[in-house]
Amino acid sequence: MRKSKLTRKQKEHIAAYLFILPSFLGIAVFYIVPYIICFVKSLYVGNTFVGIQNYIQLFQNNTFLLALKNTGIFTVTAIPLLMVISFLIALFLNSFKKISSFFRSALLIPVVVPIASLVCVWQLVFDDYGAINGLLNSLGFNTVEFFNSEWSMVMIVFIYVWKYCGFCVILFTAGIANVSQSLYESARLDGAKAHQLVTKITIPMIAPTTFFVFLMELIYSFKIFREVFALFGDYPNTNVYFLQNFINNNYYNLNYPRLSAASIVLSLFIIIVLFIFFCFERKHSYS
Amino acid sequence: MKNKIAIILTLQFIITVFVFSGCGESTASSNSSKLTYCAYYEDAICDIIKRYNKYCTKHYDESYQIEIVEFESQEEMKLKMSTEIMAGEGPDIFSLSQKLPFEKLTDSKTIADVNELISEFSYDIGIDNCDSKIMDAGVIDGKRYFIPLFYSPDVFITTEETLNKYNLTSSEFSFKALSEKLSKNKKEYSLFGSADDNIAFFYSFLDQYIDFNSGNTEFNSDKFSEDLDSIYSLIKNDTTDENVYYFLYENINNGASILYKEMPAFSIIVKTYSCLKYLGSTPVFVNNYNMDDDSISASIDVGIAVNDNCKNKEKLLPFIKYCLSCDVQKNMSEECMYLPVNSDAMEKCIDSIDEAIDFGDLIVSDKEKAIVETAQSAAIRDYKYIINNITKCNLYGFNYLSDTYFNSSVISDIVDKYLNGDISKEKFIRQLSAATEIYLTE
Repeated sequence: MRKSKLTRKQKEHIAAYLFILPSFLGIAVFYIVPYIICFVKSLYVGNTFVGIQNYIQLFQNNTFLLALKNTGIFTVTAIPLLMVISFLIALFLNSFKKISSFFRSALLIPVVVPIASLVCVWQLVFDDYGAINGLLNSLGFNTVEFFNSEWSMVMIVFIYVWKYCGFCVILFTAGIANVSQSLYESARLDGAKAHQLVTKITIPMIAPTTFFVFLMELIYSFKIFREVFALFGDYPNTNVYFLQNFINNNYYNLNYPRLSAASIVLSLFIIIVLFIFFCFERKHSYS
Repeated sequence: MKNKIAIILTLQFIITVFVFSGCGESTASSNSSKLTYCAYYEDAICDIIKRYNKYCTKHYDESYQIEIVEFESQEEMKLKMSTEIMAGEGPDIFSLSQKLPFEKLTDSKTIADVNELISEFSYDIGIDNCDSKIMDAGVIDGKRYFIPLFYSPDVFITTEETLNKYNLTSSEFSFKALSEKLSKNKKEYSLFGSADDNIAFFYSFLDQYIDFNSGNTEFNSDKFSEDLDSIYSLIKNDTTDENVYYFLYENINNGASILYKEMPAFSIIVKTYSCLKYLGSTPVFVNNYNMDDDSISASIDVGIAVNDNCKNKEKLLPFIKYCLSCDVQKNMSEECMYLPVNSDAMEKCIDSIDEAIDFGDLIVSDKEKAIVETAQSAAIRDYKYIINNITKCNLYGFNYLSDTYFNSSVISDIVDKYLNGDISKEKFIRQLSAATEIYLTE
């Protein structure tokens, strides 16, 4: 009988690589190769190689800068706001454990309701003749054009916080529940006050949860385009024109060089933000 | 171990099959050396291509022929073309009637500069024989991206009698004055006899205030605001019944519709003029709305562009030359009822008007024949005056305005909301300005 020349370890390696291969193929075909093609396309206009010209033009393009500014404002405003609100709600629910399960379930409803249904409700609420303006008018205030003024951004931030708050609360509640009670007891014995318990124990101890929530919210903040698109269409007013609108419209406008350049910039932006946060998390996490 | 490897290999095979089975029918030619054109209905360019393919068998070889890739619907065609263009391919010839963002395609250099091709292959396509005012509509930033083939002046036909009903004359006609008179009259009227023409008219009004080349708009000007009121009032109070088939002659004569957008061919215009005269009216032309009140504009009804991804660009130039040649222009003009861009073809069309018009049983006496002949010469004189005094030409024809990419995909929702009375004028102007500026600059 012929003996195999491969050692057991080599055989294991081959088997391992073969197991990885289907996933790797999928990722390569659907993510890595398109990303490389996208990058190459961003260096061309038509069939002419233009180097970084598309990137230079992109940063000279006022509409792109507007989209970048709006996306920045939204990310910087909505994510911290959502995290603070959901953390406070989680703390509150943690203090009242008997009713917390009901509230946690209730807070999750916005996440599971389909976007189309929510859009109908928001239109009824925020319309010029909607519920909020009805209330404002009855109190003697002027009508606020939520769909066509600087209030549009406020409306989108509100919708974002409302929709994803429940999900974050669940994550924070789980994080807080995992903090050992003995730490709180020791701190109380040392004379720590309630706010010190939160700032000195709870927040540092749930740093990994906070990081995860941030990561998820960053991803969800880019998904808010669905709501913006459903509410405002392809061409929203300038206050809620986001990077995703820019990319989406350039796709429909068949402007692929600009689309590719914008996509690469957006991906780099996300990679840099995540990298910074990873470093920060590794440095400051207690665990 | 063997089982595991077999499972993995099977999975790999399935993934590979799924990945590479997504490729459907291509807009590229089944015969790779042939040029391609996409169509979802038999348009004028398909007609020219069919003639050209026969011409090729005699004068060139079969590799010069153009293959028409047919689609079931416009949406299917657009989706396929977009995907192919993204992959650096696509059909070799575009038509201006296809719902594509041509302003953006020129930006991304997806459309080739024909002047560059002419100098590269040292080939004369006969542009010098064409009306330069019309041909220049295809030139953007000094590059000839579009080749107009047929066009129409932006004018409507009406009668002095119809205008007199509203105390107007053709010499003093303006849409603002018409709107005021109609508002005072408070009677039912149909502006064009077709609700579709109303929408096209509104889009033609809006497009006047946009410079697609420089990206500037004048929606915030007082003139726009003032004229918007008039145009809105004209369209809003229009009582055109979609279930009624409006006859041009009877309606204009009876005053049931005020204006009519006729096909632009000389023979058609002369026939309409003559019939109106025969029926006892005084036919006249009035200009479409124009920002610069006195100027006369035109628009391209049939035009083509060349895909920069085309692998056989040298084979495209003989086709363009064929499209612009005198015989093809004259024949297609008579068949499709558009005006040819070729100057010689235009002269021939005018010369052959007598042959083109067949009045059938209409003419019964010499007196009536004399009336019609007088009308013919008046029509030729008036129409020639309009053609000779065209000052600018727009890229999209009146009949396609509701279907252009910008009008249908960018501002249609805003326009619908405004015309349905869902949003105020101020809101309409704000939304229109924002959407247009974003589209033009993004």
